[in-house]
Amino acid sequence: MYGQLDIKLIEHQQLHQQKEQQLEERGRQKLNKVESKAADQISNLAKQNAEILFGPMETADGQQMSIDGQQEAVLNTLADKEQTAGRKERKRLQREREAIRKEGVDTVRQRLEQQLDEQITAAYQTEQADYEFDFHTETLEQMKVNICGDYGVAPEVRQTHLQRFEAMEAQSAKLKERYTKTAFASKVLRQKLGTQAEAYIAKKMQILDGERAALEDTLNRYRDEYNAVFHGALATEQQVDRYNQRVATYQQNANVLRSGAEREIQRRAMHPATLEHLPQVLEEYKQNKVPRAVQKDKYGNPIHEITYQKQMDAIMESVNQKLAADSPPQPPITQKEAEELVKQYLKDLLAKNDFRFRCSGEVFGLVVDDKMKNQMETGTSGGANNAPLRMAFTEKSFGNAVGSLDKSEYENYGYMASPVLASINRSRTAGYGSVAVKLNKARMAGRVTCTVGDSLNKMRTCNPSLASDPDLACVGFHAKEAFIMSAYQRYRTEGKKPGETDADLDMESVLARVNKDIPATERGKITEYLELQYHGDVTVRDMEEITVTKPPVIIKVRPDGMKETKKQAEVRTNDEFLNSLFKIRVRVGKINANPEQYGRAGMPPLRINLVSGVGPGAIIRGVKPIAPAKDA
Amino acid sequence: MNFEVKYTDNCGCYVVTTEDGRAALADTQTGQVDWSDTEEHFLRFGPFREVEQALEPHVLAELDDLLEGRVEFVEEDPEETIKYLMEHCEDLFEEDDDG
Repeated sequence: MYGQLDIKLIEHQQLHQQKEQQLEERGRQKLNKVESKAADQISNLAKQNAEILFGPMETADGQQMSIDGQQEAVLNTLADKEQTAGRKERKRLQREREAIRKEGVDTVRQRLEQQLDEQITAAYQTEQADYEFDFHTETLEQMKVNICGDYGVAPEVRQTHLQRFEAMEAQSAKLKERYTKTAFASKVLRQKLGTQAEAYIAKKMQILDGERAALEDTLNRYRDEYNAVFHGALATEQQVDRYNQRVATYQQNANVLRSGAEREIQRRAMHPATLEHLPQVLEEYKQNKVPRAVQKDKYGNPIHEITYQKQMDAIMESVNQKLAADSPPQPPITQKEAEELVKQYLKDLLAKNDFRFRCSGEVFGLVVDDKMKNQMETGTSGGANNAPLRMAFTEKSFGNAVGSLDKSEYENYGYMASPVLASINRSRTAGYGSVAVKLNKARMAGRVTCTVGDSLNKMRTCNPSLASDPDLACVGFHAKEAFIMSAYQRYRTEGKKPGETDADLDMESVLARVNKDIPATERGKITEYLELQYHGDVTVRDMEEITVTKPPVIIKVRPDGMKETKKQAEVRTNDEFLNSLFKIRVRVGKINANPEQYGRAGMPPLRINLVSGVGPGAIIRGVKPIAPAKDA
Repeated sequence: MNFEVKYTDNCGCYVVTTEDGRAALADTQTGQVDWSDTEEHFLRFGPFREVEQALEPHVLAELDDLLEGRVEFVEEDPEETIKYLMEHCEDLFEEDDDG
């Protein structure tokens, strides 16, 4: 029977030869017709000659098998020799015969597998049949998007999980293809197949079921590990929208296919785009390739030529003069030594103090529901807005060309706060909202940059650097010398060890020392705060504690022109504060009661602190979140 | 004072620019005002949107008071504040902090 199949294949070859002759004789038009005829013949082969394909296959126990004539002749010769051979020789011949037979069986099986696959594919495509097969497509996608959006988990860990699920998607796609073809063969070709072929297809389906079960087991194992790392969270609707938006923006900017854009966005998810060019930008800044100089400000006031090296030349001269004037006189230090000292000083400062951001109570609710939003995301309602300026700033500081990022990819802004809550109202950031959210440093690791001073005000004299590898270049001009002197005193004069943290490193104390000789009238010289820029999405998962500051009482003039009394103002302010606090308590209560929903399963509950007053007299109290009703 | 209200966070904060080109962040809830040479300084830190509709006269009057410094800050006693809050909101503080 197998010979008939060969005949069919030979006929097919002949058709091709014929085709070539026709090309010469009758031209391309005729050839197309022949090609079409040949394709039809091939696609119908499985239907018409299913028994030819399946007939020679082995039965379920694999004993019967047809092999080609040459092999059969060898086998017969060996069998004849066996008849006359001695016992040892006979055994050797038997082994040889078995090996040839096995090889023959394998060859035939492979050929038939291939032929079957080709024929079914052709028939399947002709019929445009579809077979429902879904291997957790939605879950896999949601896990992938969540991995891309959960910047708090180390990039290498996320990369591992992402690759696992991508591999799983690829495997399930292959499995789907094979499943679909086999199911189609079973369903559509059943009537034309013999019993052996049916048994073969059933066996194939059995194998596929086994593969699917194995894949399912692997997925369950991966999912358990995923849940342990990502706290069981799947992507929220907003995360999915944001991911798609980023992909669409990149697709449009780079003019690539969606798959290419997805790869890029997944890469950026592991390494935030706003950090990608920072080392180069910082290096260029330090090498004076980027003079942040203007000769005059917008009021016509002269501004110094302030490339990094020019600043350092002046500052080092002053530092060494001060050291020489010390009692006893101190030896001069080099710029490199100063840079190393400040690097350590900044590292210790960052270890000692908290990472926070400020917002109002209302905005806190919005952040909790999604993520910290930047100006590009929120200030885009009609007309001109400042987004282009903002983008230009990011380009200068982080090297991302204007228009190269999706608006949601831009950095967010926060500050380094004293761990002493009583001084929280002292911070110059107090004006940015009464809620100060403390972020988890471990979850922010590797994606925080810093500037000593407001990055916008000081952009001509400094450039952000990574908080994990801080650089003197991130310190604004008027703080540079103070930082070098403080670091010198700390590590050289007082002999404190790197990594040691004490009250001297409290952020508010440091700022007070830096600003102590600067007159209040010279606003531009004041170091406002140590600004932090957060890269990658900042969400409720990154939060550790919420500090609510009691706003000051102010006496207002009512719309009717009457002025409030002190008592009225106090009552109004306190009642407004209680209302605002109520919303935060409800929100935090909901998060703590449903940690899975917020991706916080296994994390400590969020705490709320209230700070009333400023400085040593301030009162700090823990506030109870409001737990939702059980049936809510 | 002549000023233009350009942005708001819809939560009582306004970014305004004045005739002399300065920008201010005025918080009508807390009465705090912060000044800068540029409005961009403030916009980074909050979800501000452009003000698209004319503001109510009393809001403008309140902003004018804030910008002109015609706001009186009351010196508070934190103890008294906490007492008031506790009286008006049961179960507000964590038990550990009561003592």
